[in-house]
Amino acid sequence: MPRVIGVVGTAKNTGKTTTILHLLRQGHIKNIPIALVGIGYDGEDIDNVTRLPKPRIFMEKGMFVATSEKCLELSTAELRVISRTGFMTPLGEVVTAKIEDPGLVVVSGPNQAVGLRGVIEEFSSTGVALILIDGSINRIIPLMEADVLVFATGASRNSDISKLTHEMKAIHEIFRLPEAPAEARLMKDANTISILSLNGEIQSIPITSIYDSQDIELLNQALRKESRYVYIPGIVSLGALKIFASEFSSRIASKAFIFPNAGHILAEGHPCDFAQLIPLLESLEIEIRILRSVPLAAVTINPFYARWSPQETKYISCAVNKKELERTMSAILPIPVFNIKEGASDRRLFELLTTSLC
Amino acid sequence: MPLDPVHDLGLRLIKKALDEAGHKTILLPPDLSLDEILKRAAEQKHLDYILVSRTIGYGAAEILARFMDLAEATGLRKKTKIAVGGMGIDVKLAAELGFDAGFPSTTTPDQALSYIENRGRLFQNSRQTRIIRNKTDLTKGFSYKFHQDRTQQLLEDIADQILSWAKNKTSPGIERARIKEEILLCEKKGRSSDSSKIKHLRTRYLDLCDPEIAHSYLGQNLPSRTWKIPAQRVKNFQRHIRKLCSQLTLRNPIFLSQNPRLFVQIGSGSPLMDIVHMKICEAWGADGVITICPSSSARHEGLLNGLLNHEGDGTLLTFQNLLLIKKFMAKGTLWGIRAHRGLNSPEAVLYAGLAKADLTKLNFFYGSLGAGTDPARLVVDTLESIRLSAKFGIPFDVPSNDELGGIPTPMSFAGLLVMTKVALRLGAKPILKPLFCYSPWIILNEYMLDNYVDFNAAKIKALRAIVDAPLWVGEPAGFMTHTEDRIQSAVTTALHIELARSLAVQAVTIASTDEAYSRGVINLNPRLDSMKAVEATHRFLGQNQISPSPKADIWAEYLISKIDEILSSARERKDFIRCLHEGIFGGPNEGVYPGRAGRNTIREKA
Amino acid sequence: MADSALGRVVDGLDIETFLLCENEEEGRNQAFLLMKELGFLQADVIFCEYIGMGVRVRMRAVMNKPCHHYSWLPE
Repeated sequence: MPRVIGVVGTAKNTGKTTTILHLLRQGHIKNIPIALVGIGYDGEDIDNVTRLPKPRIFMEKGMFVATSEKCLELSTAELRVISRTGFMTPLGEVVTAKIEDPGLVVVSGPNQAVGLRGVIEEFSSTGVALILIDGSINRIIPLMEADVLVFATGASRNSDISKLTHEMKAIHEIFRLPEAPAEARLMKDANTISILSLNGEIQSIPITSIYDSQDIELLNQALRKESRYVYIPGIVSLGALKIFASEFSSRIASKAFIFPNAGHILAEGHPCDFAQLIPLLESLEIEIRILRSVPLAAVTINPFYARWSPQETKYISCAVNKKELERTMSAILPIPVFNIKEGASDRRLFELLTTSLC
Repeated sequence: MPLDPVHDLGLRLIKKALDEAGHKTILLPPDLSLDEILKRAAEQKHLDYILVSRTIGYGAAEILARFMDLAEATGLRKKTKIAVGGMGIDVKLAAELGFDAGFPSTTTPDQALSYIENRGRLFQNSRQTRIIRNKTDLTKGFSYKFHQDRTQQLLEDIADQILSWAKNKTSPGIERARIKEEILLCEKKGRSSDSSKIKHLRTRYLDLCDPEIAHSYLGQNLPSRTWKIPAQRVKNFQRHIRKLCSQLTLRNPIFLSQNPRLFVQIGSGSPLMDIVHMKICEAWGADGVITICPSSSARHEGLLNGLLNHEGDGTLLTFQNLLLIKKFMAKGTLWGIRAHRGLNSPEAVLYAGLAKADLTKLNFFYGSLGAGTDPARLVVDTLESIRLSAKFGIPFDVPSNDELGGIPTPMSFAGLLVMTKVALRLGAKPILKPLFCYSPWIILNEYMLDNYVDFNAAKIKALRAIVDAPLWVGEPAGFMTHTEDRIQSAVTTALHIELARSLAVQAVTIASTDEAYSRGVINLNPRLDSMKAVEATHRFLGQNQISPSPKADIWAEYLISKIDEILSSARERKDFIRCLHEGIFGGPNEGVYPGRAGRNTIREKA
Repeated sequence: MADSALGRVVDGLDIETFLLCENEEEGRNQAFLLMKELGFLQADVIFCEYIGMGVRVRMRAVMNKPCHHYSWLPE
């Protein structure tokens, strides 16, 4: 099976496309059959000279891409369709294609994890060794199909370096949540919230997620002294988690909440708040675990951002202090931090993400 | 479900459409949190679709994307399709945010319903919302009955005089039309055995043409400012326009199912540019097109041949030009070809018939008194043209643009009525075309000093009181009320057309805002200026009417009595051609003179 | 008064026309390019409508903003 790398942008202009292009180039240099798939739509830039839309992603002959049908004609590269996945998006059916002639490609792919799984399976039968997923933090669930993730962040997300780095730390902590023990995996196919007791008994309650006190009450009624693991196939809202931490802590002490993956926690969108709650819950003997861990292996940073100038009625390009950004981010994270633009030929990121392949 | 606190009107309209179609819908209140929405969705046993409405603003895209992420995390996407619509939404943004479908703010409730009922298959191609227009027969339902016996009798007697005078007469124009018909039919059959026959017929045809036409017929020595269109350009044009047309949708006609039908006049000098104008006018709501040919071509015996460009006030009337225009015409578009002036009237109607046009234009009063053709010649030719129009089943309109030359309305209308009667006698179907105009006679008599409403209404009332026949306000509506100012021009056009609609006429011809610009070709965008103005004015009035004051009735009666006097004088004269020369239908007193082109070219049939 | 005719424009210069194109997005982009070709690097789309074959479009080049220096007023 090919190695799947998810590239996650935290906002527009954080360097996600730059990171993808870098990884594609590295893969090409090493002659690794590499595929790119998007889970949304990587829109085109408008060419300043011609005012025509211009795709951003350049792909070489021999590379592969999964994209929606309507995007084939928008691409300047010559693409040969290999298979049709049957998965539909607003831009047509998702197809897999091989680049016959290099050029620019518009990438738009399956918009759900199930579609992405299908694409990964299609590629694995074509000899592709490495698949890059072009993703975004606002659509994190499909990216949980990856084997490893790299986050692209920068001043476009937040021009306050302290806040930006703390947020990335919170995100990393969520990705570092321990996996649940083997016995809890018995519940992995459950469609609703399931409770595994010490005696091996599994109960279900008829909801998939916990949003409010009503849902909490439903859970509480089902919890018993012997209940050990609570598997939540959906989400727990931040508000609900706060209630757990304050009002119901005694009832759910010594129990573990298990989520399918870190995405089910990040999808709510408040990584810093969640990350703060986790140690608090742990101190109350409420464990947060995940079934499948997808490691966040590295972060790329972009010090540039666009600021609106009312006087000039246009956006102007600004930058935070790139050395300070890199220094602070590196200090706060236990994983490597890269500034791709500065080290364009730096192979370390690629090697880190593809250790078993090179 | 609206994610925006205020704007859920679009959703309410869609809900109404879905409810009426029998679907079970729940409209969530605006401003719910994502968690609240997801919980409500989870509580539904069966939930096939969620429609999200959002006005795009700062941070909106992130919220929408997060909603889709949460929908996937909570398992909602396994059973439910989720679509987004509203301001700033397009298919690409919907794809970026992970939705199953995206609808722009122009989406109608019907289109949303269609998405739901097609089980989530999106009508990506706007051709699926193409409106098929059916052609209207403008003459349908009219009895052509004259309400006053006296008028009926006057017209019968005049028609008798005309028909008996013309009985055995023929002209080069008539003979050319007959020969040309044979040529075109032979060419259509395409048999090589006919080639010498065609050659022979062509020689006979050219013998009846003016020398400059004869010399240019085969494409060499073309008259000045006339060129053959290069074959490669035609090829490229066809390919390019086909590509652009593939995305063409026809809008609803501006007046939907009610009258009047809206016509545009197109004659740029090139059939290629005419086609571009025609396609865009069709898309923007025109029901019909009238092809305008140059006034100069009316003075020559014979029509040129081939795909030809002409720098001047119209597109040359060649059969090939017409066929090319027809090729690109939408199925539902009505098409008129003029034949009311000059020495080629029968041939023009022949072309109209064989090129499958829907309408032609004939009026020997206007053509001889306002447009330079010899009265006797034009009468003879026009009678043949009327017979041809009946043979091909093409109605013709009878224009009254002679008013613009100074002819009083009653004289012009008397002419319209004579033409109508003659047409009926020959089995044809005429459409009367009064002009809504600020003409010299109207100015001199101060009939429109206060407003443009009353006297124009009087015209319609008068004609209606005389005969039950279709009426078409042209050409164009509001003639001489336009200035070069775009806004003024668009507004005056729109109001004249609303007046025409209020008076329940069958058709109108619309000017562009270039109407008063005489130094160049009518451009495309000015055509759309006027159409937009008509659309906006009609949106304002809807079914309401512009109502004339009682003055309109007084003037209508005046017009009727004057028409009566004129028809009586004409009958008394007992020599119709002399009537035309002596000014009974307009003469030197009014500033018009009988035409001379084609004088002394009539002869007795063999 | 200003040295150039363009300098005498009170506030804005509107350009209105019909551009052939295949969809509204292409039409808008071409309209901006049109203004650029005419020498107006900053322009705004006042109106753009695509129904078939092209867009009817009005573009505006802002010559003078109310709160700024006026090209037609000597300093």
